[in-house]
Amino acid sequence: MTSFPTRILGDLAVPLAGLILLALYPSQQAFLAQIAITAILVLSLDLVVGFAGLATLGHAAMFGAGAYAAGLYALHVWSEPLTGLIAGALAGAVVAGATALMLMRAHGLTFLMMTVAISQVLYEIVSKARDVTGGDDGLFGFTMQPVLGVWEFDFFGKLAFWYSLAVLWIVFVLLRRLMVTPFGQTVRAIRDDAGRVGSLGGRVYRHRVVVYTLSGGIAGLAGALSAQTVQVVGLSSLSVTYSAEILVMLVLGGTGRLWGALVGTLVFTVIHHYAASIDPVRWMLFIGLILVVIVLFLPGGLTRGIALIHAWLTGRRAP
Amino acid sequence: MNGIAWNGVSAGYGATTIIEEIDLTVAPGERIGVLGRNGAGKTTMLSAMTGGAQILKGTVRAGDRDLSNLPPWARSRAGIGVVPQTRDIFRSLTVRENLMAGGGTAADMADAFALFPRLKERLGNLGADLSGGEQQMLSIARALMNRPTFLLLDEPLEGLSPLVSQDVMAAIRKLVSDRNLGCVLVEQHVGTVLDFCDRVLVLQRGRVVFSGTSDALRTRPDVLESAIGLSGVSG
Repeated sequence: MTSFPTRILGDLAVPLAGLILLALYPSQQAFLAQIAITAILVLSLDLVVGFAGLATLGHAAMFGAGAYAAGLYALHVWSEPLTGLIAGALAGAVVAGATALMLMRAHGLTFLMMTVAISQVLYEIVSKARDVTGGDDGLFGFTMQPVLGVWEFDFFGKLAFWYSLAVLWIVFVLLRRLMVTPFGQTVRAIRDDAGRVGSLGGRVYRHRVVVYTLSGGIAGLAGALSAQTVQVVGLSSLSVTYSAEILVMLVLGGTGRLWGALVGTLVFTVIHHYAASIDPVRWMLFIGLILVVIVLFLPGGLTRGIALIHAWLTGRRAP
Repeated sequence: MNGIAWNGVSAGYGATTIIEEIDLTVAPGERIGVLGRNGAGKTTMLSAMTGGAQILKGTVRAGDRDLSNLPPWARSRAGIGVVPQTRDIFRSLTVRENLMAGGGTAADMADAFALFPRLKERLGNLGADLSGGEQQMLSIARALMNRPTFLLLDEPLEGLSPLVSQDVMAAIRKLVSDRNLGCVLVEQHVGTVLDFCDRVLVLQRGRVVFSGTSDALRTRPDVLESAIGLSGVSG
């Protein structure tokens, strides 16, 4: 177990990293907000892939559900941002919870294919429900009230950055706490050997459903943040391609560490930012090459590399 | 709870039947040994009770309760603790996390440390960093986290040095005696089984070929030789 000062330092790393990025990119706060939102989504994916050991290619379904729910909530109910976040999180959790009841009875490739299928079904439903969702044109036309009635959204993304960073910080700290509770430990044990956990009295199915639902709620929260800060929701937010993209971010950073989600998102997004400005068509080639190198030489991702260097410097075994 | 019982159990995996028509009742505080060559069905017999093997015929019970169709976690919570073969600890989790993985409490953990003080010293270490003996202690401690009434031990001394084996067996004796646990011990070392257990079951090709007291088995060199491959028993 980490000591109290180490834990607090770890908690503070997110706002500190945010401030450093702000100093590096002072005029690109909308871009930084996008990184923070994506990091929340990748954190939620880490719960499922890294901690529960369930490989999915349908996680964007929950993100998109949250984004559309928050957009529709703002458009038809109330454009207050915090309740909109709750609406988005609930939508993500409902989609995840409902599908988890079926998904968690499947394993391996069947599970993976079912996540793709569910994502595709949701995509088609949203695409066809043009009157409600805007279909291919996307959902737009809503404006958000000031956050807490004080801070207004602005064109340059200043509020979007601080708002998204605050939500990312809260999610990260809560997940760090959650993963050291008996629930979190049981989820990690299930990843290692589900059969053994069952014979020790752990309820594998129930834990998987709960962690998938929780993860869906967080993905929905990220979707709601995205909808509120960009004030447009597109069909691509539900796509399997986006699910694959965030999975690449997680693998780059390292699964099952939470830090990996943050590092992977940052590295991917920054590389995307620069590589796409050099070659808007073939930027994915850079990412692909880096991913191949990581998978071949550092299968635990970049944070595994950091852990190995730390272990080498301190003479300890890398966790 | 009166006891756990295998009532005419045939069990296996998929279409393959491994054990046939096993009958055994274990009372609280009773120590039963199970002997047999590799592949005789010893582990499958335990798995039929814990939910790892498919029961094809018969029932497994805990007291009046039929466990045959219950999931593994429900069997564990019915009072059956298991120490699996090759220990099977979670190597990427710390000692603390291993102990909490099945839903144990801080009080359960304190009890485990009373039995194995060394685990308390290694609380933050990964399972992979423990010695073989420590891993076995962890495996036994983990099985106790749900406060079982019966303990199924599958070759707990496998791969341990003689000195460490003595320590582990001493801990098992104390544990079983202090808590009046019913115990089924599957073990290759015949001397240990005969020394520890009240009754012994000998399996050959999935069937019971001997059931009786340890002393009775000592007088059956034919069973020892044909079913276990021994010409005599050393302590």
